[in-house]
Amino acid sequence: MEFVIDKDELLSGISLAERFIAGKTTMPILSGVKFSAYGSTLELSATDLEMGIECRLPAQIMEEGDIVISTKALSEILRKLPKGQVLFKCEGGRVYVESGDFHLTMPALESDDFPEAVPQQTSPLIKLPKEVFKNMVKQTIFARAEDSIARPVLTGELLELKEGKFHVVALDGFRIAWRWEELEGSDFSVVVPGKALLELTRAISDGEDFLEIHTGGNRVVFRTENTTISSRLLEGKFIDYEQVVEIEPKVTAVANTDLLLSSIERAFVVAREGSKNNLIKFNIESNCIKISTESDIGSVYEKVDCDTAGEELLVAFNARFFIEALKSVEKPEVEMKFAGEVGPCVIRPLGVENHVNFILPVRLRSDG
Amino acid sequence: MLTILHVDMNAFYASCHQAVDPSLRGRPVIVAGDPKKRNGIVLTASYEARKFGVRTAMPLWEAKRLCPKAVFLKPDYRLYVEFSHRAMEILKKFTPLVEVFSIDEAWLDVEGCEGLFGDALTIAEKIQKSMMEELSLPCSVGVSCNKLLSKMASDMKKPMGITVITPDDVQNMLWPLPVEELYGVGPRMAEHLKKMNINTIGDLARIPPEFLQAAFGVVGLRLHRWANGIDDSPVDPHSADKAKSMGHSVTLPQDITTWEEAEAVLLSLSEQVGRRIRCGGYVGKVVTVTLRDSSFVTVTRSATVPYTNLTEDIYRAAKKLLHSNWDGKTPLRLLGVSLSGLIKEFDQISIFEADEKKKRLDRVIDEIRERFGDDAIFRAKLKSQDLLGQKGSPALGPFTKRN
Repeated sequence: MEFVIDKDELLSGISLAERFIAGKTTMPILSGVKFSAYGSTLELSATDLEMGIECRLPAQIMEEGDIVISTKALSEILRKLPKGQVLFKCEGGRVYVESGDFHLTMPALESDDFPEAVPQQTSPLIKLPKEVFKNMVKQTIFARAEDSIARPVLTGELLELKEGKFHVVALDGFRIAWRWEELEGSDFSVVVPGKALLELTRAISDGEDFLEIHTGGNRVVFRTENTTISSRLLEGKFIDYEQVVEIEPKVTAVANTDLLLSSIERAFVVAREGSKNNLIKFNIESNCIKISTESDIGSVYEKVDCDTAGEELLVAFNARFFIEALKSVEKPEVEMKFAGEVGPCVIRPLGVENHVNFILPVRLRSDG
Repeated sequence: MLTILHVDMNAFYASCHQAVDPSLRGRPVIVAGDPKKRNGIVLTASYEARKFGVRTAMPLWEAKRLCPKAVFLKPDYRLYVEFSHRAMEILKKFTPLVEVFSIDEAWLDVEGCEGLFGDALTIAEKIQKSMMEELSLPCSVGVSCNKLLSKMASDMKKPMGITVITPDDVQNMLWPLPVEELYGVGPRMAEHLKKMNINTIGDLARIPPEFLQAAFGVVGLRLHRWANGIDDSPVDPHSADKAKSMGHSVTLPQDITTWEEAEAVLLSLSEQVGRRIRCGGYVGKVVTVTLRDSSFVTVTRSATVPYTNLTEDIYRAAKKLLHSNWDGKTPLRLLGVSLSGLIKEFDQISIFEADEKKKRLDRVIDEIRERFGDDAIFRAKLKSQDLLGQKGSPALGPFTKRN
């Protein structure tokens, strides 16, 4: 194997692949990155058997071949090298790296035992602009459960296509974040671990290209032009989110997104010091929401103007849930439908159907 | 599968003192209350002291007579809590499924940890080694397939024992033991059982369960299952979060014989209870008062109040209970106040709450229909005139046709 490649290209590829290397492993080969040079492409792959990546880089290839390299020292050296081209050569179980007057020799491993980082793909289930998908994930992933012994499935996000709509849903039992887009394709429904989606959003470069989603066995594959990422799927069922967010509101409020968000963020500073789940109270009256909270630090009270329709209501929420939901809203105005003091609040950007947040309140019982 | 471990810290209070003060190691150490405050009983005796016959709950004077050379120490609860916390942290390195049962006991479910740490027996050895190396604390570990058997197992070899009980061992290892050795059988229950000629765990296991149910209700059935080594309760890492009651009691330095004194003590107890309740973010609705007079007659009385966490409310109810259960003269030796029926003052509502309820409802409906037929129960929504006019199940056919 012998090839020449731009140093910065290679470094960015290795840095990406290294994120998929197994931290602790009983298989030493998994702590390396596989280099495959064929045609005019250098493909880097890495996997911890849960997730895997293939990343394709343009290179000038003199001799084709595969090899596995432990990249820890290599990437550090590449970082410290000046810009320019690097020559890679593999002979007799060793790798030679040259750049200008710099020479590095290091051992390499045979690639025969390296597992398949990404399964073979046939035709994709769906195809959508990668920016759109990245945004759908960013606008929902905060609502997944960080860790859940009882329901591990909730640490992932539901990706499903049905009736011409592609849905991305996260929920942790107390709230739901849901985005959908109209999309052609064959129906499917999978739950992808949150960690894989976070790595995916990091790995997808900006640009206009499309992202393909494939599934097979118990794995999902996300493919863009230069990068392919695969992950094991989570098993289990999500609740029927479409039905759950259908509520009969007692009061509806429309507020300026930024004003409401900053007010809740101020209250959160006080609320987070208490032992009460970041509890803040909403007193919804005619054309305003009065936000209040208290803790050992002190107490906060603020009136936020808004348009309201319906009854007056006192309801309490975990401020963090509201902050995260409102931060995902990209429109200047937001509509909130409240179902009552023990019922959910359903939040949508005003006039937008395909972006829904559902938050359950905190039950208040001071004198029962 | 043997994946449930029970870890029991040996002579915990005494061991903590020996851990922080190496000069105490190998010597008889007795942790006991203050005799001046009239709670002078042995709380824990180190194994060195137990050789002389010193036992937990023995009066201090008796312990002194049996083992005059022992080092007598007053309890230092902060030390114990600190060590307990560190011991539980060690356990949590093996699995997140750790159920803390008391200050010195916990269960672990190590299913699925074999790849990381080895089988349950190996993990038991590792735990014992870590406790000794990191904290200088001895512990015994029971290994079995459920919580009950692992707890019985950890009790078999002390100190520093590791005991495995498989379901096949129940007859040999458990049945010959006296019935009071079974977890859940207290002195009073043992007395009742012995009157029924149930003397060993084996006797209890072999008696028809209906018999026990008639005598002790659900408790009897549970004991019968336990005597047979059956227990399907899961290791619940959150069991300690769900407090059911909180209380305080005090043995008085001198007997109390006036209303003023008794009320003052109740107020102070109510204050302590209230503080803990508020701290934990709870409210409760049942106030219970315990009164023990100088002849050790104990009275426990409760009253229900609206949900509260306020000292005032607890005290008011406690005072009322005092007045209706004490004559103001009989010397009182101990007073206690507790609040139970606790719920979280603030309670994040979960999506699954509603979901679970619905599932339970459906299950019950299914069961009723199975036993009494499809017509036996149906939703009230479906009970309109035209539907009832139809033949057959009002809950099925006609409704679907209407859509």
